[in-house]
Amino acid sequence: MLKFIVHRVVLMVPVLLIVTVLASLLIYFTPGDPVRVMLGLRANEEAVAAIRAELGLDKPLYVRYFKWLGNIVRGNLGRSLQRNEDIGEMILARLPATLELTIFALCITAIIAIPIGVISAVKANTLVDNLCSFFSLFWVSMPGFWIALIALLFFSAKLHLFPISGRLGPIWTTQGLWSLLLPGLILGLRQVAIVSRLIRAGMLDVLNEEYIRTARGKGLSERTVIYRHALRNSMIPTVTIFGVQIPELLSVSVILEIVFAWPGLGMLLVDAVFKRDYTLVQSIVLIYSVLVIVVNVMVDTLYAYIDPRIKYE
Amino acid sequence: MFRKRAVPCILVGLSALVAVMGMRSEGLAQAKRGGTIVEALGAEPTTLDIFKSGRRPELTILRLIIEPLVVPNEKLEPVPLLAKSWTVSKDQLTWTFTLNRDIKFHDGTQLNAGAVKFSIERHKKGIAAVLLTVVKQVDVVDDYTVAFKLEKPFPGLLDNLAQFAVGIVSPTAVQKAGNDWGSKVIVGTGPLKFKSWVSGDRITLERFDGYNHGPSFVSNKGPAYADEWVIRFLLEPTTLIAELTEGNVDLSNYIVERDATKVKNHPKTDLVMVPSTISVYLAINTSQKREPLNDLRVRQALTLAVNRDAVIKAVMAGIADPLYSPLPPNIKGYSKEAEEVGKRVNRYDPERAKQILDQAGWKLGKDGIREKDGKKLEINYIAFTIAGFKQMAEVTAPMLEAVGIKPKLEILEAGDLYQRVLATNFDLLSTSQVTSQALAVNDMVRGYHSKSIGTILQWAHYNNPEMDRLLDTAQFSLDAGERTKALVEAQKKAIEDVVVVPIANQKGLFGYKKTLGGVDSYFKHPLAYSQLDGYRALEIYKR
Repeated sequence: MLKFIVHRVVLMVPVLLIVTVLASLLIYFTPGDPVRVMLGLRANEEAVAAIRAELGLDKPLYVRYFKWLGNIVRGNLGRSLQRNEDIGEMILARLPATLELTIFALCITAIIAIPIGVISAVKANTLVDNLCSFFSLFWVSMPGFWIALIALLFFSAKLHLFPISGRLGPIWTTQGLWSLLLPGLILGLRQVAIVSRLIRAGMLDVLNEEYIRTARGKGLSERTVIYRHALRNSMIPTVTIFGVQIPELLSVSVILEIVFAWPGLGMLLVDAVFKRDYTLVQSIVLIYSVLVIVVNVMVDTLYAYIDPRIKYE
Repeated sequence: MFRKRAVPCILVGLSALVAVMGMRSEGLAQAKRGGTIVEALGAEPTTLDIFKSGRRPELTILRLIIEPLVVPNEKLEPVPLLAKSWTVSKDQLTWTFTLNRDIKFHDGTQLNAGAVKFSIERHKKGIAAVLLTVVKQVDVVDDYTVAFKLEKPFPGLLDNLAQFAVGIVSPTAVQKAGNDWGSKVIVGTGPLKFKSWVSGDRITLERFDGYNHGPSFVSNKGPAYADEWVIRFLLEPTTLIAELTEGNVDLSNYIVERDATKVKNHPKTDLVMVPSTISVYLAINTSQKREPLNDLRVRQALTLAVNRDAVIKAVMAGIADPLYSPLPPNIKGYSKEAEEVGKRVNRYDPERAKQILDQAGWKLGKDGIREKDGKKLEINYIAFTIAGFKQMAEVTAPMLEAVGIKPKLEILEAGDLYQRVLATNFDLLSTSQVTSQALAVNDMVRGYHSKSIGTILQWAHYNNPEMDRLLDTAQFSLDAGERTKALVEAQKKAIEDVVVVPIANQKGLFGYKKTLGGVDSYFKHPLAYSQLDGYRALEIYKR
């Protein structure tokens, strides 16, 4: 197992390198000059040239990339082009908000999606299943931005059940948890809609397997058949689905960060892209990639616990 | 009889006097110290380094912290602030400023001539360099006297120094801060001092108790009333309005037109609507190489085709005044005479537009698009992704089509759009200009002098030696009458040459909670919404 994890971690390195090269190239070839964006409309050419030189933007892309990479190897993410702040500090300041929102949403998804998926599969094509389908279709069809605004206006501004915006503290404080509830629920419920459909499909496949028929034939109770045989066997695709949900959650969370003024990493990334802050974009993409890869390694590792037949050779 | 009547009269008079005095003292008592004022901005600043800050979110905050040597009063004449007096040498090449000795920076260091020299020399290498081009060197005469040596006489120097963009900072703080300057350390002499910046969330400022030098036009000379001033970044307008009307935010000047009525009519909030220094217009690429808009007749037709009132109604919820000059009316040097010319040139008259195009040889084709020598009358029309500009382009495009001009509309992100403008790769641009310093002469030089070609605000790539001559006179002539005349002529010329299609002078919208005091006093200055917004910290208080 340890050998497997080490192997996967080593494999992370080239993946991360490719991701950062791609991110650098993409932002480099996107039209727009970071210095022009920074200085606004009134700067003259001399001011633009002076600041470009000060930021090292007059050097070729590969020189800047390797300089950035060299800093990374030394554990230094460098300084933001636009803000001149230490990127490590900037990311550390905003990563907790993103992680809280994402993990909270993932928990909501797990708590609600698994039962809904299982019930929909067991009660396939009944009223319950149709209601679950309607719920899923509704959440998937509604634009996230619109749902977030409506929820904010109704639950926060009208009913005063939640704060309107902002992160009032870390998750372990009452205020922090209170401010996380609405954006977390919206993000989580949106994913419930998608995940529960996938779980339903996985469960239906398993329920049609011969061993389930055998279990029923042995006279086992339906409850035992569902929970001991069907659910456990459908967990592998389910765990995979949750692994895939992480990047999805990270991208959808940007919208919620804007609506709820949630000071997360997504908003910082979007802002950095618009302002062509190359070093900041590269660093945030690197952190996101590490997060996604780590989750994938965790998912792979979990397989062995769920299905003992899987060996890590 | 007289006595009988006199007694109640005197009593009534006395009670009225007491009542008036009571109201007055109540009014004064309301202006109390303490509390936290929460302001909402619709954007987060990128940096608070004054030497690199040119955008609205940055300057809205920096004007609370950093101040210039002099400042424009209600008549837009520079009056003392950090400098208490100044003299000009006979040859007009040396301006000597005497500093106010009682002013300290937030870090406790003294404002002195060294700080002015340091700041101005650094500004000369930064974004505000354009304001200081004629300044050759800055000399420290003594601790509290500083001399500006100019390359050539420049009567507008004082106006340029009366800008917060050339604010004076503490050199000790800049040197100590190193890389932290502009993000963790910002030290000036303003009414509020920087406390913290939580990225993505808020900036917290606190009262500078040593502030004692509010300018002549401000009712409170200092210190500020509020203990703390929190600036939250609420990027989504719906969220911002919800926070304001629910009472979690005290004020914001980031109210968009569509929300004005809601803020005005809400029981907890009110709205101030003032003329802003923003002119909304369509900038035309007048570059000689660029057909068909290098032809004045086509440009004349273009402006006659645009219905300003309809654009204002559709895009700005009817909250704006039609604009007939490229400049906003409430700035120093704006010409009413030129505006009259503008009302003729920029009127809405599509029939006349069609006639002019016919006369120019552009004949209507079967598809409704005009043609000349086998070429269609098509223009590249670009707009920012920002909703207002995008909508303005979408609303005006059919107006152009109605007279036979076919616009090919592209909506571009700012970075991309700037490159297209600098490369002269466009014909028409939906945009606006916030006056740089509320000085017509500076805006005209920025937008219409050939030496400004290559900067983005010379959108039009307009190159006209006659305009250059007029603007040089307007800047450098030592005869005030000649300067004024040249500035008026330059404005007329820009209008007659149809360098832009003026659309609207936007309103500045300021939403606030009714529990705030001092708002009326704050808005007495015509630039309170824009260049002088830093004094909100001195005037506004929590009741």
